[in-house]
Amino acid sequence: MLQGHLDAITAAGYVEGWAFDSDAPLRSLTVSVRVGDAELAYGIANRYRWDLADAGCGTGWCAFRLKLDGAVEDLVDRPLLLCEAASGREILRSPPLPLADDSEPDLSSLEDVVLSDPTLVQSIEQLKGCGAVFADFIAAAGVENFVAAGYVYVLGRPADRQGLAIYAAYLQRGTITPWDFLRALHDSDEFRATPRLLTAPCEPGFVFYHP
Amino acid sequence: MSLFTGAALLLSLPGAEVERIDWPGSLVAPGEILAAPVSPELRAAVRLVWGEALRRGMAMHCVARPELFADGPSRRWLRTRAPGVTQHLCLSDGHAIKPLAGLQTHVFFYRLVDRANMLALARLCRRAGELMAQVGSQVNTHLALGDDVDAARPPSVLLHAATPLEHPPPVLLPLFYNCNSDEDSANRTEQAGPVAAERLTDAARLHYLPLTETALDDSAFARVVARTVLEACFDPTRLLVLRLPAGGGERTPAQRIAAMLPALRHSGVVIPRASAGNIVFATEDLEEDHTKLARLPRHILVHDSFDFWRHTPGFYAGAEQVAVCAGPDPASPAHLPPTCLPYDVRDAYGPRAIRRRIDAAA
Amino acid sequence: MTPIMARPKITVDVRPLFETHWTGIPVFTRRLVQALLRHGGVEVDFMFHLTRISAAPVLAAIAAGTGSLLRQTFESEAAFRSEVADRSAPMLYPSVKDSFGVAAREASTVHDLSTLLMPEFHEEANIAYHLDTLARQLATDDAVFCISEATRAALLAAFPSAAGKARLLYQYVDWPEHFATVARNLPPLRLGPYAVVVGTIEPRKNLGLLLRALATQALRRSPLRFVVIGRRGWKVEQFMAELPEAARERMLFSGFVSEFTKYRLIQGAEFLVFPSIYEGFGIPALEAMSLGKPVLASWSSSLPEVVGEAGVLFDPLSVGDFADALETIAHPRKLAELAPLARSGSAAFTWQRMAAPVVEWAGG
Repeated sequence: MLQGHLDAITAAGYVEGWAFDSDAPLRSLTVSVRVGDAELAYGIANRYRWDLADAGCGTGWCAFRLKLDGAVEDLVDRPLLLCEAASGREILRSPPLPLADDSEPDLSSLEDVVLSDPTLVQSIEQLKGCGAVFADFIAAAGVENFVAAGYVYVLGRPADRQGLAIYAAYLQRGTITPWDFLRALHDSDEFRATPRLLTAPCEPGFVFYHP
Repeated sequence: MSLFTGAALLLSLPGAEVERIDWPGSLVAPGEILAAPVSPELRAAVRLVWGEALRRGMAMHCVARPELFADGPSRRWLRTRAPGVTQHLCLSDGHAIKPLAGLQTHVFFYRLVDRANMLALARLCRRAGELMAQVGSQVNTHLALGDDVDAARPPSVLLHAATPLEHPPPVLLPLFYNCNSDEDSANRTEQAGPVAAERLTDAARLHYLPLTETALDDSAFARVVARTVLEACFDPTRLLVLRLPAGGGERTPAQRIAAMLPALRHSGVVIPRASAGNIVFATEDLEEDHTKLARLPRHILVHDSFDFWRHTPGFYAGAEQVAVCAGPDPASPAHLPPTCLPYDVRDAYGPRAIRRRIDAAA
Repeated sequence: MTPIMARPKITVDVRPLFETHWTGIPVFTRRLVQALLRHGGVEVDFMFHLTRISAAPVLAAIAAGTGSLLRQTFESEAAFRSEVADRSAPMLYPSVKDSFGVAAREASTVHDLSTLLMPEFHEEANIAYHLDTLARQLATDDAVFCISEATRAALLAAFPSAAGKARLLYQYVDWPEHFATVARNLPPLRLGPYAVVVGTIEPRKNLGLLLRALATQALRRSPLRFVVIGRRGWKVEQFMAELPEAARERMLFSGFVSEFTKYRLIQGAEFLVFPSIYEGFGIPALEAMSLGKPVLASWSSSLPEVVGEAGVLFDPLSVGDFADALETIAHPRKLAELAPLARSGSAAFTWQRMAAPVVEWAGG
């Protein structure tokens, strides 16, 4: 089921909100924002927000901030339509949105550019909302394959036999959650010594995506 | 087509030395190479080839990396700046031969006396036999480029040096031979310090053996060297000068001595510890100018692989005898050579040169 | 009723996909597999060390962009219950061949001849890996694919006997489709005017040329900064330490970044600087061109062939020539002239063009 919300229009000319498909939480929705038949903004709802994760909105990776075509002043008092772009299905009819201050500055350093990368996980905490995804994966592929995928995802290598056995046992007994397991790998000396870029859940390369 | 054909010759440099040069561009005049911090052997090779080109009225251009010139814009760039070139002479250290499309490739192996380079060439011949087959000629070597009967045998072009290879003056160091320890032998030599050439001029005759890593890898030649050392031990009237192999890197004379002594030790020839002081190592080529040592009647003994062009024809002509050692050596490791082909040693070393056949059994 | 023609079958060796980190040859292999599957003109099977691998783990590895899972699968018990590869079908090696004369028809791929022509840039083990069996590889190949005309010419200069079997196999750029949509909604880059640079301090990539050029008049006058995509590395530190402060401040190093950040940095640049001394193909040039960015490239090896009319070329060993060429390309009028040529030039390299010669060969 498609769910979503429009939160605000920003002074810099963006419309913010969120949208996801509760039947396919890893599939990012491509959405459009309209006034009548006119499309004002278009983009992918794939950004992380901790409040959405806490609220159980998919994995929490379903926010968007879309650049508006048109002057902000013309839009602040108009009702807007949030649609799924591919099918045109309406997700939400919104009353006029409040004008908000901009939450994101322009990118004036390389560090800013790297931190603004929505295709990466910036912190392991951002995977907390993926519990259902991990559970589906385990149900379909088995706990050992989940552990194997976890090693590849975090440490970039096949699981060693000992690690595989230990973590599989813990997960099967429920001693740790799948997220606990990934966090343990992330907090390991090995990862600290050679940190890696971790793909965001909505990206095609996310290893726990199981169609 | 012969090497010195056309209005100009293109000379390319080996990759290992290219990196040492601050290139103003991909194509430079020979003078820029001569002024650059390249090895003395490379400088001598460039000077040798340039001299011959000038003698024949040809220009010469030096190119850093012929592999850059694939096609299209790069080739047009080269043709514009080096018009009239049909022949490409590749200066090679044995690690690579770099053809340049559209030009006939020739090769000048300028430093195969270093073991690593000779081994690299042997590997290259095994890996790229077809490439070897395209070499139009070889300068100052007589090699079969490969082990099998189909190995390429490019004709040889001999260029003789007008001036000897540049190097610092040789330091002469006395031989101390401890058959149980190369390090001890070398250390004693180092502690004894240099010998002044003036103290050696009472000898009746000078025997000069310029040694190289490649030559000493030939166990038959190493045996000849060891026997020559032994004979000098019993003949104080003979001054024996062993020019140390250059090798690579910044090695001290003691290190160079310690590196070459195993060849003598493994030769099976017993060399006494006692020394009359008539056997010395030289850290560089013996000078050709009229130093006191140069005036002594001299016999020169070289291995087939020696780069004769380090010295001028006059140096050899002034010797009583020049013996060039060659021969099959079944004891040599299988990875050695390209094979040195038969040639008239007098073409390289002058009319006093003789070929001295050596073999493992002797 | 017209009989339906069976598609020819081909077995692709996916050894390159077993690497953990995919650059160069693994990415080439990935693109090749995807092009062949998309083309549909051949039935594609996969193997590793002559052991058949099913499509599922290969496609999962391609989706994940790493070979770690593939290695895990292959080392499991299941691999030992697998079948041998079908030797009746042509076997295609996207890189070095490790078996010779097993199939009736075999093809390998030559990416460049740098181990033969520039051994000073390689460890001996790598030289041995590429060259010890090259002659045998070529002798047992029915076709040998070369990733550029320059590579093909270099191969034939050294191995003329391969003339009848050497074919071109151009790759293509395939940014993920969603990158453009994601990028358009992000805040703009405010890094000032900059050129993006592909290169490291390793001699073959020739970053040192740019660093030396910073001292020239032309570059001192230019407002451009230079964003190097990649890690800084200790050798770069040494080089940078010798530069005046004003020059150092113009060089920015991104560190190891995602494909998306690389995309953004190229998209925000004025042009790409590609000073490499030698390339087998030069995919970074094509990546920049696909985003409408002209390329300032050396005229060496394959680069003119890839860049075409979409850039300005220079002598890779000449600081002066590089500085002049940079001054030329940085002019707004020149950039405007070259931008459409960059896009059209890149559009000539497609997945169809990559698949076609292989499909043709497989069909016999």
